[in-house]
Amino acid sequence: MSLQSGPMLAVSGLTTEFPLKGGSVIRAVDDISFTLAAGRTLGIVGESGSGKSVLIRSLMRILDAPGRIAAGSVVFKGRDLLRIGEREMRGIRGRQIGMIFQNPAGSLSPVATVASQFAEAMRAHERVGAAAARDRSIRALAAVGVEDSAAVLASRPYQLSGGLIQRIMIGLALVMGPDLILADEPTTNLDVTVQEQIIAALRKVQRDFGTAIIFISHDMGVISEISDDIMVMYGARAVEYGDLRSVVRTPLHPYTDGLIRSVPPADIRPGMRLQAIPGYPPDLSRLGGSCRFASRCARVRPPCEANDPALAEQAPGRLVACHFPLAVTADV
Amino acid sequence: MSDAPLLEVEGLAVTFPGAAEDVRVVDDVAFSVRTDRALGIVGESGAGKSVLLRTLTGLFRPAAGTIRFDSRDVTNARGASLKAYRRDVQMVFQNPYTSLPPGRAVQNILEEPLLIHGISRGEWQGRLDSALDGVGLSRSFLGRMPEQLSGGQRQRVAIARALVLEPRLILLDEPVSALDVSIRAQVLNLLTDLRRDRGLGFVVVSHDFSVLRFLAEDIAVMHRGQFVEQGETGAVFDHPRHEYTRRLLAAMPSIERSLARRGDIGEAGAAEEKQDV
Ligand SMILES: Nc1ncnc2c1ncn2[C@@H]1O[C@H](COP(=O)(O)OP(=O)(O)OP(=O)(O)O)[C@@H](O)[C@H]1O
Ligand SMILES: Nc1ncnc2c1ncn2[C@@H]1O[C@H](COP(=O)(O)OP(=O)(O)OP(=O)(O)O)[C@@H](O)[C@H]1O
Ligand SMILES: [Mg+2]
Ligand SMILES: [Mg+2]
Repeated sequence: MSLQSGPMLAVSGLTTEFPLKGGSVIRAVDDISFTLAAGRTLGIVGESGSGKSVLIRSLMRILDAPGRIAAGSVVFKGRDLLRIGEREMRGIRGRQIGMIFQNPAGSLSPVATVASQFAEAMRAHERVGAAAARDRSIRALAAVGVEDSAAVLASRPYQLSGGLIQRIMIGLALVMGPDLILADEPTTNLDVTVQEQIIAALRKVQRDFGTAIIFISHDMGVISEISDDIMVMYGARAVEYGDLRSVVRTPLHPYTDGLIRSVPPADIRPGMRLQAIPGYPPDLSRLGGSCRFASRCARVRPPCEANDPALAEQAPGRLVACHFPLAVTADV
Repeated sequence: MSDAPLLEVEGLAVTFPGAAEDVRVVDDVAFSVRTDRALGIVGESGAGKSVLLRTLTGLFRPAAGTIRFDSRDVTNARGASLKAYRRDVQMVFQNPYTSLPPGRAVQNILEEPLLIHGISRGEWQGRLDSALDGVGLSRSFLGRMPEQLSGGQRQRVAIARALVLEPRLILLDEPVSALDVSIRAQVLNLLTDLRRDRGLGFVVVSHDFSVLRFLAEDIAVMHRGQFVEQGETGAVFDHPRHEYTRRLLAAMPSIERSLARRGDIGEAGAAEEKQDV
């Protein structure tokens, strides 16, 4: 991470909770800290339900009720986003920080034309004439590989396939030229040629403008294509953090190790058995004081039942939350 | 195992009204599914895969062609025969955000098909338990509503809902793309067990080649409404004949490929590499 410029984004101790009926609380994001420099991509992988989406929604302050940020700070270009007013935040959302949601169809109006949704995205932040709006929309769509932009701008999302809608979403996130893009599974359910186009488009934007990107995906191949560093989440915590190659080659946390081993081999066939981590993720409303992964971990020992390990530096640039991490060995 | 296929589709076409003329979204598609030969469908975004699956469940009426299930013609089934067919054929939809009704508890969502199809109440609990077990959700989720669940949790509820009726054919539209790779492996193993234990037929749509290789003996490659290549999975993926299939295979992301690319040309070089946008 570049030392001269300092991080664009510094998240510290971020904790987000959902109170449930009956008094219990789901702590969906628990004490997460990381930094991200301009021009870099942080890939986030992890268990389904571990808090990835809630984490990036917390950064943008767009939590669904009754979610609330219970602690932490989110310093973006020198300002703590958790300490500014909603008005100021609105000026940042969509303009300086672009977001691509996990549910593409749900974040566009199904019946308004694509052109009007682009115009609206720009006019939320500045005055733009019709011709300029159209011009910028076409350029944003071209960046995500949409060729017949005239037809697409005139159409309405309910008439479009999932793949096209997702590219429109990304175009919308790019149109204001944000410094930071938060992308929640932006390539899921797209064919691999479109996935490739989108990754190339994001890389190009990043190279041209020094945009920082947070990219969530379950696809380890996609994560490897785009990320510089990766953070692995399990049970609302960051359990491992490091540069891409080190983490996929020599994972330190047993969960990361299990995750990488669960990637199916290339010669997979019907009738074979896929390797998976035994057991199921913890219920976040019923956590005890033990390591959250203890009940599924092959390396579990008494200290793991006694307390939940904090994320700590194990080797330079390699952080892990485990009492008995796997060894750091030479890079292969 | 009987010789007749579980599902047999011939000359299937689906059209939507367009500005000038009707648009053919599914065009002359033919295939069959046996309990020992699942069909996987891969193809471009917008090719018509989801429309095809929806047509198979009776949600869209075909403009041409026939659909036979268990040797019965169900192409234009209505009333009681459509209801019986819909009990035997369940679909898991692509988008877990729109496929579950908001504001209703998971328990209610899972019980609804049992109620509609008149399954006796004595069986409900057992069916719910086995469906939840299969997808790895604890009973504590029964009281939650979809909007309180993550994408992957919703998708597991959607799969559980397809299982409670103990169907004979399941149509899976991107069934595991919302799941982390470990839960994905568990669900895929479960689907394989169900197939073996209950003799289920599968049609599975996915953009993920490993999912298709694992679940399907046969593959169809769909492009602009048509099956442009069809055959045994290994043969199609290892020796693709159609240009579009080759393009798909070449674009498949992988850990090894991206590490090799970075390793060969270095981190700085990687950023400079040619972009095809
Ligand atoms: N509105 C809500 N009310 C209560 N709990 C919620 C709410 N939204 C999310 N949660 C819970 O918070 C946890 C984290 O959810 P989140 O959507 O961030 O998961 P995720 O890591 O993005 O998972 P996925 O990979 O499946 O999308 C989950 O256990 C989820 O059930
Ligand atoms: N209800 C509808 N009315 C009109 N056109 C539709 C309708 N549903 C789908 N289409 C069109 O049919 C085509 C095929 O869509 P479909 O959703 O089947 O694609 P797909 O192959 O599933 O793509 P993806 O991989 O992106 O999910 C698209 O061009 C889409 O715009
Ligand atoms: Mg999510
Ligand atoms: Mg589809």
